[in-house]
Amino acid sequence: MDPDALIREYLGRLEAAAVALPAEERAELVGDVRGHIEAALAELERIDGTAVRTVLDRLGAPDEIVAAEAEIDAHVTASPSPRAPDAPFYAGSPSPAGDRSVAVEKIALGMLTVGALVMPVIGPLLGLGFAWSSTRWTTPQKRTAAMVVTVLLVLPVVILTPMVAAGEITAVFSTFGVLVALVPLAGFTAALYLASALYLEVTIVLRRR
Amino acid sequence: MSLTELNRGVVEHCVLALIRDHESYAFDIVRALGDRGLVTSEGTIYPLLARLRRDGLAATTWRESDAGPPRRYYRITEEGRRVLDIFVAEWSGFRDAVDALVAGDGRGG
Repeated sequence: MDPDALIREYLGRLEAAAVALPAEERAELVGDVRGHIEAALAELERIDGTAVRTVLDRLGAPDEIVAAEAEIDAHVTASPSPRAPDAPFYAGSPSPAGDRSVAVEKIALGMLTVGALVMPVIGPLLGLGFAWSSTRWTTPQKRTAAMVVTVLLVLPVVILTPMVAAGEITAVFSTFGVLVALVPLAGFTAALYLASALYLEVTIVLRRR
Repeated sequence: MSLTELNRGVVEHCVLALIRDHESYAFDIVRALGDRGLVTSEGTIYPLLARLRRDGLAATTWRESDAGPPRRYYRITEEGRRVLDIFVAEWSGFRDAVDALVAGDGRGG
């Protein structure tokens, strides 16, 4: 069959199948497909019936193309704003990063560091409290941070108590100075650990993109 | 969600990805998808492209081409870029979760 005749017949069938579409959409679709056929043939050295048939076969049946257009139109009518999903189609990992603010995390880290200096013992404990309410840190991470703070806060007591009991007051005083430094150290160490956990999680999510 | 809907939802983001970094003729977009086996019937891409145009995710201009009449030239819009970024952020996690389940890994991701 004559190549031009094949093309005209195909586009005629497309036009007929698209009769139910709005006029503008139908015109655009037929125009797009015609442009496709012209571009495909422009690549070929020989334009004969077989070549045209191959192009048309790859395009697919006019009914199928029109059905795709109708389906897309129906889908859009059903959900007015398909481009603004109110829920992501993937819920994400247990601790998803994203636009959610890090306010709680910042307060926790602040309490553990500055708070530890301003309010010894209470500062780090408050920081731990905030950290525990965070949704970005996992429970194992929270437990580790709590353990760090607890150990470093309890250590001075553990070391000093036998000294006090033994009545070595001078030793207590000299050791006391060193051990007091452990208190803010507790907060800072936990803060460092949690900050790195947060930072690494954020980094990993960004790299996935 | 039918497989067709899934395919269409994913393929339209593939189109956006194809025009993210450089503009393309419709024909080249369709061929790129067809060559990768993402569509069986190339014609069905054109309704999808039209929808991207109407939603403002892609913009088109008519350009003269070497051989024959002017052709549609597609480029991504800022809105299209935004939509694509959202998809990219979610897709790999979704794909990995599905792969793991389908492979029989009951433990999941």
